[in-house]
Amino acid sequence: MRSIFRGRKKRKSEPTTKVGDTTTRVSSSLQENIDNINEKLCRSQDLVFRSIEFNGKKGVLVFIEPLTDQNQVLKAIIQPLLKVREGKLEEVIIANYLRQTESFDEIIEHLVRGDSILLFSRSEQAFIVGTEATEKRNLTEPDNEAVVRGPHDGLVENIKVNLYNIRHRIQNPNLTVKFFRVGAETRSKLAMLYIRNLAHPDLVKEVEKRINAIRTDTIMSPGFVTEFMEDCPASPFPQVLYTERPDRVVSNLMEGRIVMLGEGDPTAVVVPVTLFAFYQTPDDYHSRWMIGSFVRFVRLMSFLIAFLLPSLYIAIVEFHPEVLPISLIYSLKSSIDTIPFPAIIEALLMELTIELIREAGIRLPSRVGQTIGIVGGLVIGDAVVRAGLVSNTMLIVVAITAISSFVVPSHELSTAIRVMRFPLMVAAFSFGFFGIVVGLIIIFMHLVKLESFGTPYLAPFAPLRVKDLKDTFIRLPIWKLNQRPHDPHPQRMKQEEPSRGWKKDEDS
Amino acid sequence: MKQIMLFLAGVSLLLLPGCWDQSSLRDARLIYGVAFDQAPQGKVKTTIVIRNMPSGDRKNPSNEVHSVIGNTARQTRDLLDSNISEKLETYKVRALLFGKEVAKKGIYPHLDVFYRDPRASLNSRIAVVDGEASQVFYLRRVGDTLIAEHVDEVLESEEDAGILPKTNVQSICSLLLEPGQDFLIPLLRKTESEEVAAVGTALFHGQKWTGEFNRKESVLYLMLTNEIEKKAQLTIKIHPQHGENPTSYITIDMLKPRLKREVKISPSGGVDVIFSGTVYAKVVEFPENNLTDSDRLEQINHELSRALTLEVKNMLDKMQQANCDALSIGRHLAAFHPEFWKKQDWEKDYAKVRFHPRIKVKILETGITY
Repeated sequence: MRSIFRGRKKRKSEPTTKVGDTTTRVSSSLQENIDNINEKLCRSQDLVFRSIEFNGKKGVLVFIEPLTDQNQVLKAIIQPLLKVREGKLEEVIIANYLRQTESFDEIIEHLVRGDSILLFSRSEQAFIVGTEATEKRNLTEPDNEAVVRGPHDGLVENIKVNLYNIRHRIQNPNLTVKFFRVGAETRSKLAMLYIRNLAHPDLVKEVEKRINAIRTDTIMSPGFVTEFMEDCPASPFPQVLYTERPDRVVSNLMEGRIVMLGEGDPTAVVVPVTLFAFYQTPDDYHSRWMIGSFVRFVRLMSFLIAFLLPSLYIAIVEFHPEVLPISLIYSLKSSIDTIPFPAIIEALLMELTIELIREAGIRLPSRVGQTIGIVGGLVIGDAVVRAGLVSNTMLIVVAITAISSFVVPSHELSTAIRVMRFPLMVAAFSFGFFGIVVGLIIIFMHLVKLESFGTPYLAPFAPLRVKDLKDTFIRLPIWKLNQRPHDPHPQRMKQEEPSRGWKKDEDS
Repeated sequence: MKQIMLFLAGVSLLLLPGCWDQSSLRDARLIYGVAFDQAPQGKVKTTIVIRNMPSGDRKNPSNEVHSVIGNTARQTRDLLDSNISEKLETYKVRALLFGKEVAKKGIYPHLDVFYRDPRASLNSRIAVVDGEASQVFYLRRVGDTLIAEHVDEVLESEEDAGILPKTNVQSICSLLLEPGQDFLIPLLRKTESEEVAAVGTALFHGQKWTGEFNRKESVLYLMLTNEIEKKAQLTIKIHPQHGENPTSYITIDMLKPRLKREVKISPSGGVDVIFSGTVYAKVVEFPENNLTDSDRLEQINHELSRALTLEVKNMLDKMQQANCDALSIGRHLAAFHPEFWKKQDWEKDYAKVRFHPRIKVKILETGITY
């Protein structure tokens, strides 16, 4: 079989090194063990030692207070131990996770995860009891991916809850979860999810290889992971899809894609993706297909507007005013006649102002945020025209552009588009329409060359696959989408058998 | 180091052109109308109308009219440019007028500059003024409308009404340069009440004015060339016996008339042109009334056909007298009978062409009468 990942530089992957290779064993002296633990955890003061007694032996219960579920410690360990004074420890302690170990390093590893350790004097065995605390927030709908209709829950910072959320939706034994620990110091947990009989094995291998190749101290978020893994770091376009919606994760899994979840971050990373994936929202599938198609089409048009409108305006005003109809040219001329700057300065001024307002709007607390709306919208918008710094038409152009760039459902792509129009504006100002055309050619060359984990970025447009166009510019009815998209090379293409057979029976 | 130098060279290459072919709308003075007149000693007088649009809330556009005399059209434009602030731009010229004297001498020399400039507006309307063209522009305003816009709108509405041919810089270009093909240009006249009226069309032969049509003849010409897009109105005297009285006239709307033209060469070497077909019409005014009777209708159809054919015949005679081959008979001969065409001296032989209009009128609608 032809590999789908051809022409990529081979990079040798090595397993990540573990902290502290010196494996020591649990000592038989209780005091020595306590000292060792204290030493390993740098005498951290949130470490709790509680003396206990069992079978007449003195022992100690160790845990890190903020990490453990206090209730669980009380109910699973202390209460039973106080009630039943002797017997087999395994039968006394009530916990999901209980393990005996002799390895000292293992003890430390479990301690920092939030488990409790039981040590007894004159014993080289330690017991690890699962008492990990799970602090989680509600499964609220992500603010940046809200939908009108459809599920209103979202992923949270807890990987277990997220897995529950996804497993709950795909009740299928083929859903595979693989855990990785990345970051030499932070030891962050990373989960990789795929459907075994859908995702292409080469793709799975490739993603695993790239995860294993990560050698760094810190992994803060999936953003870090992405930057280590993506194909073309020099591109302004996002090559993975971030989402906080479980339904979106599920639909991508069912298309044979791979999803990565990180502990401590509600963002799921979907690979591989195409440009058109950034323009799909769950809303498209929850409304009727004609309306969905219309909205999808409007959204894709907004891509062109956000990309081209300011540069087209600059090119027309500075180079080709003759293309304007007579009634428009005079009103345009009268509005720009008194402006002291060339169109590019005007445009940059306003674009930067809008970027400033946007950035300030994110950073400011929401109570103060309204002030920004008033200051930005009214004062700058109106005053800048009255002061004769920016023309009315430029203000309209910039406003339409800004609105169109916010239509993109993906924040990453929206930023990419906003950044990409600046070089286009400069090109338009230097060479007119010719400059725009050259700029667009360069951008499209880049897009056609770009790959996301072996998938062409502009698929199914380039390379063209007409069947997949059913769900790109428009969205055809679900029963027309009987094949999975081709770009992640799923193992099974068919995703729907004719489900409307009853219609024929009824008609005949 | 080498890469940095290459990068710097690339960036400076991008920036060095420095907008050399820029033509900003901000620095442009847009000419709305141009008029050419004959000046003494073979010079040309160019008059331009510039539209000014004040910025701000009060949007009352105003016109500026300037005239200058020079050797050629291009030279006069340069002279005007030196008098006027900012750069003159011709890409939005809406009306191009020629004075009678210029039109009689030939209009191509003045149009040449429009055909050579890639930015020139090719869709500006052309008209000939009976008299001096600059006089029209110096009216400055007709009613509330600025003059150049008024001229443009008058021409446009008459085109839509099927009275004047659609004429612009581009449409007459090939006709100007091609033998065996002539054209008509709308004719304007400054009336005594300080207004501008479209009085008919000027007949051109080659690039010179040779005659004129009134409005009715102009409609008939458009009917023969099948250029009437929707309908055209025609008032015909069908009962001359009633004398000068409203009842001797009928007004009809010709509903998109389409006629067939046949060009035949007789064995003796003469050219016969036959126009045949039925014009469907709608009666819009018939003071005599009585159209309900079908026999009477038949009779009127007959009378109308006869009157219309006669009028067309007169129009064609006038065209032949002006030696204006706007029906492109010569072009047809050159294309389909090249051997015959080579033997012809069209300057003289056009007058010998025999036209045979055979036009029937059929009234389809009589309007609402009770």
